[in-house]
Amino acid sequence: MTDVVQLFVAGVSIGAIYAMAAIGFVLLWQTSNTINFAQGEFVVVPAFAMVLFSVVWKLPFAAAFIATVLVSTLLLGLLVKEVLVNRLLKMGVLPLVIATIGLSLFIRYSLQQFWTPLALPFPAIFSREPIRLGTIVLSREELMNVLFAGVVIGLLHLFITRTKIGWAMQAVAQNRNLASVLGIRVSRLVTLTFMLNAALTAVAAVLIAPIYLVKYDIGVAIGLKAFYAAIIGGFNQIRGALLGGLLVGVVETFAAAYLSSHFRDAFALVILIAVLLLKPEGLWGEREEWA
Amino acid sequence: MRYGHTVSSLLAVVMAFGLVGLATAQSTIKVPIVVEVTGGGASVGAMWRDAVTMAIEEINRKGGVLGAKLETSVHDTQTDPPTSVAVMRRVLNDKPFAIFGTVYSSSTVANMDLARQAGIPQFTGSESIIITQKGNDNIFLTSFTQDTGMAKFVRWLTEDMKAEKIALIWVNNAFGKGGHDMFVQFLKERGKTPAVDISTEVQQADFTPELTKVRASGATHVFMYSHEEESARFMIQLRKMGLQVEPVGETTMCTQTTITPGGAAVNGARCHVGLVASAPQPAMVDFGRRFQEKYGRVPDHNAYKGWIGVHMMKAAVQRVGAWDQAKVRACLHNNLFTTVEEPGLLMDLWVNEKGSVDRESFIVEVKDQKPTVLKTVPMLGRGYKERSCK
Repeated sequence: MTDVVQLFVAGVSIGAIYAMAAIGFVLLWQTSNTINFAQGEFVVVPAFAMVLFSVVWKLPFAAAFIATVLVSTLLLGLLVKEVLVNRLLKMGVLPLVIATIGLSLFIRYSLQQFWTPLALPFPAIFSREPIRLGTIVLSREELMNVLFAGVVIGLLHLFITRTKIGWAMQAVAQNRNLASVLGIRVSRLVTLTFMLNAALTAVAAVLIAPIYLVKYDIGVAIGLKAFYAAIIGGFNQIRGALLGGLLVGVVETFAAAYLSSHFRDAFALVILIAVLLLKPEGLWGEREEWA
Repeated sequence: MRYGHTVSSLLAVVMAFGLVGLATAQSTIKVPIVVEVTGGGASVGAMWRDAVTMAIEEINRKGGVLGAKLETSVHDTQTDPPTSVAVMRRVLNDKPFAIFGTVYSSSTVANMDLARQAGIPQFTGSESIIITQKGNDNIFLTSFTQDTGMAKFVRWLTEDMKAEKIALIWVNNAFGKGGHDMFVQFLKERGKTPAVDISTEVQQADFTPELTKVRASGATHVFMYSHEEESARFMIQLRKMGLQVEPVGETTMCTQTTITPGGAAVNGARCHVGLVASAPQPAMVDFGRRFQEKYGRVPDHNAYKGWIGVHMMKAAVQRVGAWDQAKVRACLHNNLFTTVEEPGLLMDLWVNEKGSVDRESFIVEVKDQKPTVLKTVPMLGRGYKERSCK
């Protein structure tokens, strides 16, 4: 029982981080038809920024975190949207997909070349002292990760469902042309979505870095798992990405414990293939009709 | 007469140019570094690359070896064995005197036959027993192979630590498999078996499932045998889960490349290490200080291996008295090299017939995020003697 509870918490904790990156995939797809294959690196850059602010410049955690979110939203949100997306979006989905693959390689190897190929230490945000409930021992850090990620995703959900900007984002996701006719500034909204995605990945970075450590290539696995999660849950629904992220995290943790750790990554792929075959719109996604 | 004079003059000019060319060729000795600059082994490769480069720069500053300057270049294997083979093939086309690298055993196993076929000595940072089992007389390890390292480690673990229930977690590649097999064999010779035996993957990030199995096994000690980053992540998660087991390791667990990212979580880990900056050896401390001044980070055992590898080659070339690859290769087998003869070796070392080394080593405990030496472990063998190579 102890093991099951601990594994479940560990799975949900890592799954929540996948979910945040997966939600970013969904947001970008819905508002701008962009599949961002640099999403993993969008987690890595703020992790490095956090190391810069918090470890190198020794800013207090809160200040370092705010600075990281700001840098991330400006650099990975605003700049990428204005420089890359604006120019390529009009050419269709494929050029932009290829561009984001290029961007991910550029970020990864720039960090390796100009910063360090070594794994960098990242201070634990939450206490590492475990919580003991009778025979059950739980990781305080993982519980806090789940809580923190839950709050962030909850706030995002409120923002999208309860604010005018959120409604506008939903309108753009449903029909860009109609939204434009209704007076919604689509381009500005897409920019906002990119900035929102960058802020989300910054939060994911801060949560994942103490576990994964900060290294130039950690984004590969995160980006891939988040992509699987988004497809499994439903690429057109935030709730789907959340479900997909949690499912991938929990399944791979239990599979590694009770089946084989060698095939840890394969289990997510098995689910992905099964979902694509049986329910292509995703477990919690909505079927889209092609015009 | 005039014709004969002209011919002999031309011949003299040609010979003069030829000799100048030969002298030029001889004055620079190519010793390329083939190493993991990118990919999963980048942190390890960076240490090796920087230390080899530093050794070459210092040797050149002091006049080179037998009057010749060393020239190096760095070639990236991307921590990928097939790529390392392609890179090795390209590097060998330049006809270097020796190759420095690779460090990851999986790559070395894949590429070492090429260097042997070309007759170019290869100095590696790898430790896998699989390398020496191949019977390649061209490869020279700069540290213990796992049969030496694990023999010392198991002796310490069972005799000094009195460990009874030991959980074994190892990385499933050439390095990890070789270490796993040696550890289990030496443990079996003492009438023990691991309480639980779990293999993991390279670049694995989450060790919660493995640690859950360790707890269920009731182990008192957990031996983690993986690469540096994985070891750091493992220690962070061990502390996070509050497991009451004592972490022990063979080299990688207590090296600086693990301690730096792992931070305070690595405190308390005890290991057998071959090379460490805090060793009670002035030459090792001095190298550690100079490396840190030059590169701004504490050298780990891979840096020491790279530095020592260059000086192994230098010591052998000096003992042979010529830049002769076959003679240097022969000289490096079954021979003792001392710091009196070559201070750059940092410690006396014996190279056996398989190209593996024996030398003193250390038991360390990580305290305040620094490996502190608890004990010096003597050489495994005795009665080693120096042999002339001229």
